[in-house]
Amino acid sequence: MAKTNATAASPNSQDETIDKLTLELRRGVIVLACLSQLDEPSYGYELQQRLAARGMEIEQGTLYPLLRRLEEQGLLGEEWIVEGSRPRKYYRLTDAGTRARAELKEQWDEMSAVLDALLEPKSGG
Amino acid sequence: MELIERYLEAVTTKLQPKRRGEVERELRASILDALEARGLSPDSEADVAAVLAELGEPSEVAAGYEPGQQYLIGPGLYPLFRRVIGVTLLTLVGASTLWFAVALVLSGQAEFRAGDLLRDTLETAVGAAVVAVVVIVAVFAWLQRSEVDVSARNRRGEPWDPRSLPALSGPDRASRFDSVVGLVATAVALVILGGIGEGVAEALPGAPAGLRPILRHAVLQGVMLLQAAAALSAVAHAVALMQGRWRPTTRAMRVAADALAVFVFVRAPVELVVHRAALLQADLPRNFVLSLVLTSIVIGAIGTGMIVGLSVRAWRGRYRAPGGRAAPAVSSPVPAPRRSGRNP
Repeated sequence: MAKTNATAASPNSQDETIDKLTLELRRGVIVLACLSQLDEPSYGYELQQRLAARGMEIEQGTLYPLLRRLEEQGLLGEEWIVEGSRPRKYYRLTDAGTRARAELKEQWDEMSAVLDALLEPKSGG
Repeated sequence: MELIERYLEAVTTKLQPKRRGEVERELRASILDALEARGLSPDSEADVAAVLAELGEPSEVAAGYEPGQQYLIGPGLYPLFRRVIGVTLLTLVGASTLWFAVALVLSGQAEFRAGDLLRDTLETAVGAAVVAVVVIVAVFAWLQRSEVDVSARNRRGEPWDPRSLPALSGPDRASRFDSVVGLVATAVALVILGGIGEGVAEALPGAPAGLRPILRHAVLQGVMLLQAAAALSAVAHAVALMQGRWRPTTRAMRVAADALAVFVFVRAPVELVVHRAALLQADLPRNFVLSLVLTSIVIGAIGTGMIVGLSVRAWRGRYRAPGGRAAPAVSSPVPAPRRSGRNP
């Protein structure tokens, strides 16, 4: 049924398609967003708030697993620090993470310049 | 607080054991952080519910922590897996019914209890079903594994060779479905044949003297030859499956296995007919000998007919394929019953 709906292209399914595409577009970008903020150690909720305050909304349910994956990939290091009554897990860029961030930033600059040019209304002719 | 623990448990039970403890600690800390930052209380169920709702459904959060899905049989192979399981079990039910009917006829001569026979048949069928399912799962897990390896090799930067693409659908292409069904049917046939052979070998010393040569020649030797044919066919299918297409060697093995099976199917009734005088002299009831001969003729004719018919079909498909008309018939899913019919 889902397939027939998609081919019927009802306004609802169009919205869903756009949602999915947006999600895919964001997926790669949020990694770079996280890496950008972790020169100083930060814990999950704090990082989420900091990113949100600067306009990058990432759901907690997306961010926490992502941090852990980046840690497993060696881009982030972690440390449990007890503050007040309870421990918090702090993340921080490793050397590999710093290198990855530089690389990704270069890619991002290039891609964003190319896309800006491509999306420029008059460049199509 | 209880709601938090319920949430954590719902997430962590979906994770690999090695991840659970760490994820649980971190999520708990994050939830308490969120509550604290908004001045909410961990003891208020409504407050906790609001924070947890924002965090997301446990299954989705857990999925984020387990990115690389681990499959025994992945979504790509699963439809094929279901088809093979279905066809195999259906074949097994059919074969068991046939076996029960034949055994019922054959055992009409001595003291005989239908209940025992039914129990034996069910035992054999269930045993064969277990073997079949185990073999199918093993074969598919192997396919899954080898495919995962292939993609991993490509990812590491080895250039992909377009020539490694599978052959066009057609008579030369070894269809995975065909070969997997063939392998499984062969395994089941080997189990059933083994059971028959063992039963006959046990019954041989006690059988009437006149019946013994027939049992030895028509049945025991036939069973052994069919087992050899089944094993040969299994090897041919396994090799074709690995090579992705039928080559002269594998095709020759298949033809040899077919020929061997036909030989047995033809020889058994002929032997019985030739020795019917001896059978009648061995104090066996006339109608029992008659039904024995008739059953062997019917089974032999069905087996021979299937093998010859399907070989002719495949042969015609092979040589008419360039014309285009015969090709679709060959690549259709019809071959499924062929393997199962051929091997037992």
